[in-house]
This record gives sequence, C-alpha cells and structure tokens, in this order.
Amino acid sequence: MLRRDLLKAIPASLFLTGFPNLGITKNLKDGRLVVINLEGGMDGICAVPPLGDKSLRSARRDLLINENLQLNPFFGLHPSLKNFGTMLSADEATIVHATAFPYTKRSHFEGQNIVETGILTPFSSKTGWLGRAMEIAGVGGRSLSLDTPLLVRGNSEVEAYYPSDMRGSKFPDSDVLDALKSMYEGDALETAEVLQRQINLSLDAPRLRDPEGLATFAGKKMQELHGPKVAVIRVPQFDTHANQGTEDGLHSEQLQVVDNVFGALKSGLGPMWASTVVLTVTEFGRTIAQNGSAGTDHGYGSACLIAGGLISQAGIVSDWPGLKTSQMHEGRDLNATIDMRSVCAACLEVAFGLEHNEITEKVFSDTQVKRIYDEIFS
Amino acid sequence: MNIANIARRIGLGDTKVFSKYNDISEGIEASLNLPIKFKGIPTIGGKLEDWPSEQEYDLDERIKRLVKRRANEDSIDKKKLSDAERDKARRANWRKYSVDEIDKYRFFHAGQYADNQIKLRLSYFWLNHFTVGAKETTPQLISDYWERVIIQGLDGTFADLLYDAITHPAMLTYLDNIYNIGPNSPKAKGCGSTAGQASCVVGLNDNLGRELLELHSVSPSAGYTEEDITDCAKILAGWGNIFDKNGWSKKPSDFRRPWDNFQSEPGVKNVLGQKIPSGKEGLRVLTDYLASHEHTKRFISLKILTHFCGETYAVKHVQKLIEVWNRSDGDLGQIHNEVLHMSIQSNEPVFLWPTTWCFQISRITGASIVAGFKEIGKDNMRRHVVDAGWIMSEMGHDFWSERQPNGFSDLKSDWISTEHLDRRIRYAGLMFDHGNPKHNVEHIIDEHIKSEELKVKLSSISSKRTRFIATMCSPEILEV
Repeated sequence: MLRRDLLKAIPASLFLTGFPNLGITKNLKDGRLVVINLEGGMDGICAVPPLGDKSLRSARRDLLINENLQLNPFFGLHPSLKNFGTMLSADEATIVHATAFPYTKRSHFEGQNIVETGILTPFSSKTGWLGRAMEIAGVGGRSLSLDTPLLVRGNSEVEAYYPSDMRGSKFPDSDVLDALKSMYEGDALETAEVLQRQINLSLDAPRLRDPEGLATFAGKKMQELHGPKVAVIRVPQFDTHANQGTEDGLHSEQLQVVDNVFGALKSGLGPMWASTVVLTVTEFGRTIAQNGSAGTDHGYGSACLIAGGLISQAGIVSDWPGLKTSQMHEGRDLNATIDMRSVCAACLEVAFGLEHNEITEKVFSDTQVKRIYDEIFS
Repeated sequence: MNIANIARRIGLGDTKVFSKYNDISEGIEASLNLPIKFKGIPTIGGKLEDWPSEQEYDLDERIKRLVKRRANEDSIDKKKLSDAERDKARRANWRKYSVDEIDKYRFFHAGQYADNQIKLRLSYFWLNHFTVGAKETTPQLISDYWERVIIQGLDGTFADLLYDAITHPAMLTYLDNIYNIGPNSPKAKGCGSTAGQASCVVGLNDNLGRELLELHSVSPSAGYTEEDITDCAKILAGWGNIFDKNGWSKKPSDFRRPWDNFQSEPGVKNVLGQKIPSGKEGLRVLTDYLASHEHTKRFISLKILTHFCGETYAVKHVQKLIEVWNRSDGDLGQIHNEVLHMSIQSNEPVFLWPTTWCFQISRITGASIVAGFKEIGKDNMRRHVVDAGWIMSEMGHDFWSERQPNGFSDLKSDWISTEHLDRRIRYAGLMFDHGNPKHNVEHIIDEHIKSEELKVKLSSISSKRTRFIATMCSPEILEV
C-alpha cells in the first residue's frame, strides 16, 4: 500500500446559515439543523456493517473491520465512530440504512447536485433544498465559507464563513464596501452588504480550518440567541477507489473526521444540543464487492447518521434489502429502500416545525415523498 | 470593445503586445503560433529575467527526486528517533526533494510576466478541463503535466491532447489508474492461489474510465452504460504502473507513457458500440474514437465558449464552433482562434477566475507581492503574503489543491460569496500597501472602465487606497 503524504492537511468547509429573520412571525419550532455533506460517496457498509448478512464476508475480504461495535445481532458500527456510538447509547442518535437520493447513475457530479438541490433532474435547479426550506420557515438569513454551497442557496441572504489567512492583509473597511455597494447589483450587491455588516460582528473566529475546529465554532455560534440556526459542514475525500483499508485505512480516517465533527458539534452547542438535529448526506454508497485495488467503486444505497437532542430513541431505521446478487441493485450495489428525501423531510419537520405536505410540495416538488418522521423521531 | 478589454477578455491584460501587429486578428494568430516564454523576477522589486534553468525540472528529474524522497523516508523511519526528531527529519527530507513549491512560483510568475498571455489563458482552461489535483505523488508532477501536456498540446489536435492527458503519470495517479489491473491479465493469472494477498490484489478500478467518459469527452448526454465504463476500465488496465508498490524498485522504460502489458486485460472491448482491440494500442483507438464523437464536440465546445464568451452566448452559438471543429478535424489552433474571435464578438460579461484576476491586476498596475525566484523558501520573507502557493490557496483557486475531478466552476454564481469578496479586497489592499503599483489608477480607470457612470464613481473616491481597491474590485475588472 502506498503511504499517505506526510504534510497533508484535511480540507473542509463550514457554512453557518439561517439567522432568524425578525420580520417573519410564523410560530415555528426553534430547532437547529446541521447537515454534514460527505463528498465522494460514503461507504455505508463500512460505517454501519450488516454483520449478520452472510454475503458480506466474501464480498469484502480485504476490507472487513474486525473490531466493530455491535449494535444489534445484525448491524455493527465502525470503531472510528466512538462519539456517535456514545450518542446512540444515550438515545441521542439514530441510523437510517440502505437509503439514498433516488439517483442510480453513479456520477459524483450529478449525484452531488441532486443531494444539494433535492431535485431529481441534475443541474435543473439553482437553489438547494435546505435553502428553500429555510425560506419557508422564515430562517432565511446568513451563511458563513469560501463559497456559498448550493445546498443553502435560495434564501434571501447568504453569508459565508471561512477565516482568511492572508498575512499582512487588512479586513475590508467600510469605505471600500460603500464604494463597491454603489457599483454592484444583484447577488454581488447583497454579498457586499452582508460583508459590511460582518465587520461589526465579533471577530472571535478561530484561525483553524479543520472540520473539528469549524464544527466547534459552528456549535458555539448556533448556541447564541440570534445566532445561525443552520450549519453545513463539508467533509470531502470519501471517494476511496483504492486502498480503502480496514481499521487504519482511508475510509476509516474519513469516518474518524465525521465522528470528531459530531463530538465537536455537541460540545460547541452545549444546552442547544437538546434542540438540534444533525444528519449526514452523501451522493451514493459504494459497490458491495471490493475492486481490484482494495477499494470500492461508485454504488447506490448508503447509510445516514443522525444525531442530536431532538431524537428520543436510538435505533436503526432500515428495510434491509440483502446482499445476495439477486437482491442488489443491478447485481452490484446496496439497494436503497428508503428515499433520502424522506429522511431530510423528517429532519426539516423536527427542526423547523414545517408540515410534511408543505415540505414535499415546496421543498422537493414531489408529493410522492413518504413521511417517515415517526420511524425516526418517535 | 476597446483593446484593454480585449486584452483582459482573451489574455491577461497586456495591451502593448497587440501594438506589434496590424490588428487584433493578426495578434491572436501570432500568439497561437508562438511558444510561451517563462520569465520572472529574482527578488521583489527586481528586474525581469528569463526563468532560471536550474529551477526547471524535467520528468526524469522529478521522478528521481520522488524515488529518493521515498527511500530516505524509509530510512528515517528505521532510525531510532523521538517523534519530534522524526517529524523534523521527514519534513527536511520532504522539502529537499519536492519541487512543487518552486513550480507554483514559476506558474505565478508566468501569469504575471511571461510572454504569450493568450496561450496562458487557454492553458488554464485545459488544465482545469483535464483536472489533476493533489493525491499521493501528483504535486511533484503537476507542472510537468501543465507544461508538457497541456501547453504543448495547444499546438495539436484535441485527440492528441486527450490521449496525452490521460496517459500522463499525474492523471494516472490522480484517478487511481495505477491500481487498475485486468482481472484476466498475466499478473492476475500468475497470482493463482495467492490472489487476494497484498502483493496480489488484482482487478479493475474504474475511476479514470468513468471520468474519461463523463468529464473528459462525451459527457453523460451520450447515454453510455455501466458496461461501457467497465470496458473503458479494461482498456486502461496496464496504464500507469510507474512505481513498484513495495519499494519503487521496478523502473519501466518510459515514464512518459507508462504501459505494462503484464497488468493489461486481454480481449476486444466495446465502448459505445465501437470495438477496441487489446494491447497498448487499444487506448489510442478509444481516445481517437471519443475525440471525434459528436457528443464530445458539443460538450467541449459549450464548455470552452462558456468560459470565454459567457453562458448564454455559448448556448446560442455552439453550432458555429462545432463546424470549425468538424472542418479542422479537431485542430485546437483553429478552434482556439475561433473561440477568441467569438469572445470578442460576444457582449456577455465573463467572470474571471481568482488567479486570472490576480495576474491581470498585476499586469495592469505593475504591482506584485510575490517573492522572486531567488527568494523562494527563504526565511527572511516580509510579514505580508509573498508565497505564490499560499496566495492561490487563499484565493480558493489553487491548481495544486486537493479537489474533485470536475475542477473549478466556470459560472459566476459559484464564485459569489462574502468570503471570496473578502479575499479580493484583501489582495487588492496588499497590492496597494506592499506591491508598489507603477501605473496611475486614473490611467487604469480611463483605459479599462467602459461605463461613464462607473468612471465617475471611481474617480470621485478621495482616498487613494480606497480608489485603488474599489477599481480592482469593480464589476468591470472582476468580469470583463
């Protein structure tokens, strides 16, 4: 196996968004919602292995993890997910397995676009499902990153946060921004306005840009009375075509990052954790069989990890499709028996108090999306 | 469109280059036929020189250094050292044999100073189309890929460029093809009962095969199937065995086109209905077929027109470029010539990538905050940013970064955010505070800003610093 580069840092981005819009008086729940976007295709079979499925061992002989935590007689949990495991045992987490956005063509870029827009025709929407839901719930406000993720586009004001580290540079001053505002229009104008308001905000931002540091910062900000209600954290590099590895392999390292993010969010949120739901999304799972380079290729169904105080009982929500060739999608991938849009809808319902019918109609533009709120949150 | 706008729309903002020719067309044609001359400054504020040859590395030298770096790493690991000592030794070893830091300076200096701004601009488009990001050994190889495949490829056909990009060791590593081994290859057969053990993990890895279809050529609009992707992976098996996994001891005869029959998949393959023979020649048959595919021509014509002419214009005029593609048999010189002329005809503003903007404002103001080639890695750098790689990374536009193979977006909407605006303002501020601008801002406003209203607004700003930053971040400089 090739070793990893010594000097490599883990890139990640954080987006804080959804500051309360004081002009809207809709009486909604005051929940917090965090989406962790696992880019590249997270392997649900590695994170939450179906140890009771007899077909698993032969398909994954070089990738099996020996020291999984046993969740129930059928499912285990990857040993990197220790914080998440603790949350499960405290009834603060739950798992949805064999789920995906209904997209089966295995392209990262089409798949990621669907994960963010929530619309099943790739590249057909300029706004994201989370952005649209925030607009309806009246939490349209700001977001904090280097770019503005598509996921939260579609609400009126978006602010990015990703601390600058340009040595010797000065924070944009108000005169410059006044000048730019007089020249800009549209999105650029809004961006300059938001940036100008940011100048007056506290500059207590951490210089760290690792996922864990950003998650702690996100949690702290979300704890504040007029702080953001929504955060998006992006964790890339799940595309382990080669050397996916076992306990200390690439996928395990990525899951460790995810677990750290869960832990940091909880500690950052403090008492607000009780009103929070955090969920992971990914564009697809990975092939059941390992490929020629001890990795896995693009698949279909995966697992979704959910945590937060809004969960009342831990569990695994799954309609397990099985791993026999005849049971797999096209004979090679974990089938998805739960539509990920239903999972997102349940989280929007619990955090913002939106009604399911409104979510399916206005957020996902598809009234066929089933309600599985009770299975996850009751 | 005046000459200053044209120079920024199709190049990096130099207007004097065009004065050597009778008209813009002649300037474009001449540029497309001339090489890029790499230049740089030895120290901040120093005089322009040719880039020093001792800071250029060919592929053999790059590979030699990789091998040496790896061997030293192994011996450091074997030594009895404390964790801190080991980290220090590994870091020193890494620095000594890695060349990517120097490469990034060469890239940045080229953007600010090299001759042939038009070819540079085109090379950024193609470097992004055939994205290679940081993965394993690729940072050491990216400059070779840019200069020897992409830049030299501008003079050839799309078919040549496609084949050369796919077979470069940087691409083969970035998209995991170095791990793609035919399941019926001689190697797999030889494994016998030891199959599955570390030294005998064999089988397909479809990462490059998939992106070859999706991103590099026909795009999903061609409606290819999973079987087409698998057969692409089979054709690619055998390409990329650059290093022996265990010790880099095996050296294939040619790093430039690393092919190993031992790992290749026998048999005829079929991609989109086209039969592809086995062996090394199969890949060239495949890439030639893909290069001439109708969906490839349309997909790439749209993409390059979006980049240089704007999204709406691209959709409306794509057929015109496809015709040039057909007429010229995919000759990039002729395609580029048409694209650049179309760019001048289009009135749609085009948003400039962050580093393109950095290079342009350096060229039009004469300012620079990047260290010279004699100062690279020196500890006596001043407090403000002078590191080329760091600037590109802070601007969110670093060709050496870890990123997805679809590369940087061509759409303005993906680049509008408070943080991106913050970086532009900071960078323009640094250029004013420390970059020593040589040209008068009044003159720049006069030359580059078309809108009378905007001219008045900028000229009426009383603070010199604010006027400089506002001009560089004005809508007509951010996009053109």
